[in-house]
Amino acid sequence: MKIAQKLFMVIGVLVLIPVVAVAALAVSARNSDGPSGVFSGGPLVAGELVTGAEPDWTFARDIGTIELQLLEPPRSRLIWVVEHEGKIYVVSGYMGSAIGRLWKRWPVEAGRDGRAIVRIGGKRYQRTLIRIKTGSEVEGVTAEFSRKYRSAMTLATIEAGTTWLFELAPPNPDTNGTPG
Amino acid sequence: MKKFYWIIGGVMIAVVLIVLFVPGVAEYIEGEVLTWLVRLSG
Repeated sequence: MKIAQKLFMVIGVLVLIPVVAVAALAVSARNSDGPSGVFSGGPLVAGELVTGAEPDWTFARDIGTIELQLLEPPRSRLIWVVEHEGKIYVVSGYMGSAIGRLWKRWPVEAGRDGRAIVRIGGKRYQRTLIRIKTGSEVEGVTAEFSRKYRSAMTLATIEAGTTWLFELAPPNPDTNGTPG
Repeated sequence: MKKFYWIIGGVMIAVVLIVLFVPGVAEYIEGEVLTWLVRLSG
């Protein structure tokens, strides 16, 4: 009996070690200025806040990932970006699976409140996330994602909702969100 | 028994400190988590 009890305890500790390790990383990332590779980070604080005229986004063609933070909730993550005809876009894949939707909650949160800040090359930009489900630009944007990241994204995956596409539009003057 | 709980507590604190402060450990764990998530989602 005592041997079985000790065995259960040892197994419990072995299970607990990775759980504690991952939890420590997640908590640490949540309190950081920006995300880590997997875990969401805190608000984007550092970096010049670019205001004024709309930037020329063509430089985003050479950027692998950007940091995206929603104002509500104020958490940030790393995300792919493409530029297409002067506008920039981000996507969230795996939205067709339960695990994916559990893993990636920001697209749903962005649907509720699209106010966001992105940090690209150390500079912060205020944006508004607008989900695009269909339209003339989708084919060009998905083609650019496929070219840049070799992803299997198509117009069909966007229209089916397995991939959620957002335009990072200029900030909406009607909203009163001010970044920190 | 009480000693056993102290040992577990010590091990867990050590895990947290190692993850946060030993270079490379956090990156390794993140890589493993990412691989696992992608496999699950695929």
